[in-house]
Amino acid sequence: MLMSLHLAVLPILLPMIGAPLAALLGRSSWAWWITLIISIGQLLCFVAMLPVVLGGQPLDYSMGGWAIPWGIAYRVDALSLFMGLLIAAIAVLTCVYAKHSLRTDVDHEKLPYAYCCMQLCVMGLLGMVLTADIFNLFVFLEISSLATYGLVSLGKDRRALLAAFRYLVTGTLGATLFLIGVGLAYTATGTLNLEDMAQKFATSPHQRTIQGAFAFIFAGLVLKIAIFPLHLWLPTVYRFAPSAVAVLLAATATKVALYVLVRCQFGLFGQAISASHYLAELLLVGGVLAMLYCSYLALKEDDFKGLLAYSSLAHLGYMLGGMGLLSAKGLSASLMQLFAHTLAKGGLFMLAGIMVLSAGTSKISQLTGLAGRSPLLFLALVICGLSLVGVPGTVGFVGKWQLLDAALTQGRFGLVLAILASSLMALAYVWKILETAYSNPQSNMQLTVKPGWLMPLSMWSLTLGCLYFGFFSQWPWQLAQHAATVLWGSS
Amino acid sequence: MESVLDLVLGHFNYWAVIALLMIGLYGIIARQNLLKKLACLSIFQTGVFLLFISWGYRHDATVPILAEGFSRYANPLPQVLMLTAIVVGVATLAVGYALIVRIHKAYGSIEEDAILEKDQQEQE
Repeated sequence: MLMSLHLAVLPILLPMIGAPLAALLGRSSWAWWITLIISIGQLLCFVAMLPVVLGGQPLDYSMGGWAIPWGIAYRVDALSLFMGLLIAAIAVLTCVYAKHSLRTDVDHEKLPYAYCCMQLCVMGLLGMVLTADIFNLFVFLEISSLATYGLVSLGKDRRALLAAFRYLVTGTLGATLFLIGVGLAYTATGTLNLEDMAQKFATSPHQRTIQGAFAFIFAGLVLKIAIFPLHLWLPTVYRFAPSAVAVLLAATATKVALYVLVRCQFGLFGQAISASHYLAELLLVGGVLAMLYCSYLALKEDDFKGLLAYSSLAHLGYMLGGMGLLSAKGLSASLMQLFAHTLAKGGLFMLAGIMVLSAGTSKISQLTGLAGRSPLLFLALVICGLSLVGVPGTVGFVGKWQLLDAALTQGRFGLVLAILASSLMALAYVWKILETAYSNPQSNMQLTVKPGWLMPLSMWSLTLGCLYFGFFSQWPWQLAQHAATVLWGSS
Repeated sequence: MESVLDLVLGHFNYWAVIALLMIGLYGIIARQNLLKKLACLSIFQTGVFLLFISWGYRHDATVPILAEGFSRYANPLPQVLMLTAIVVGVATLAVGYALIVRIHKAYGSIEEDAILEKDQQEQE
């Protein structure tokens, strides 16, 4: 069937049609409908690819019919599918959320462009996940980043502009370092196709060049992922970007950069760098420092979105720690953690957006007694917060449990202690918000604006997702394991 | 002596690349003026373009077209990649300049420390 042949490339092609349409038609309601339809279409593509890929066969697509090591290839394996499903689902929910949220955050005449940028951003992210060509990956990285800079600068607060500018400088620096790494890898192998490159790495006499390539790629991506101590651009971006944009970024953008690191470290460079155990130590130490220090910063932060941003940085530390275990089990635990964090943090950023909209403030100290005014909103906060902490019954628990299990079996007790300490700190900062919100019910804090029904709808889907996957964690966990073994097999 | 000279002159373009990268990186970190920051980012990128083009160069080589009398061919791919990267770089610069224009409208300044100071005053 013609359609099924092109499934792998459709998620990229759809927004190429949709994004200019959204910008050119110039009506914000049309732009929203286009974005919604396109993102649902993308999600359906990934769902349709699910049975093929889970059957054990990765889906290959050669662009323009050029044979695979020569032309640009797309490849959907279990890992790509896992990430693609997650991003596409978040994109749909963000789009639903954005209708009301962007209208209040962004000037009316800029709305069509905002939707256009949103589609381009998701297109770039999905492109990075789908492509099997490393230079193509760089281009998609830049496409999604450029769209993101534009989106962040749409924030009403003028501080969003400087945040976007700093993000632009840091992001471009990271991408350019990545490009140097790509070039070094190309000079060592003469190919850009990921699989072909991985095979040629094994027999290449230029091992030093390959290690250099990995060093550059690693440095570039670490800037993009915002791993402590290279995280300074991230908190201001999340704080001042429009709420819907913050949701999209927090739930997907850094995760996709992490995906690229996983793909490069295990799928591409696997053997060439596995001899070096410095890398494992670097990842572990970096992860532990991020967990502890960023949790501490979250504890001190008084801005709700800022707190969530620091908490995101701490959770990136967990994923990094899992990668540093250098085992299939550790990697699948990392992926599960990524899944759990996407749900919980997406939900929390949506909630923060609703709160900023209806209470007019994002200062935690000013939320006194707000829980009495909107009990349902804070019920969602409790659920997502518990998932962030990792309480049994939520998806966060599954991720942390697997990570702890992996760390214990490999005797990495430092990591175990750091995970426990950081979880306790997470409990403390979630408690800090709840305590203020539930105290003093007689306060005259008013909810001025009603958030409509689309924003709570998408927030609750993620919140209930946290609960649902806490009890039925089978399929994401199996997919994560599948993805990890695919990478392990190839390295 | 011979080998040192070879190292310096023989790798002239690579030294230029290193210089460009370092000038760019230093400027990005040290300059307060946003325009200069962006200019340095551009210098940094130019260093990488030059690096790729150096990789693609072979002495006495021609374009890879089969013809009699030619046996040394240069790989055109690094240059093609850089065309794409230049386009990406131009787009990045354009977005950056647009942001600077908006920052100037909002703050009346494009010096990073002055902007941060204004933010601080606003908060107090």
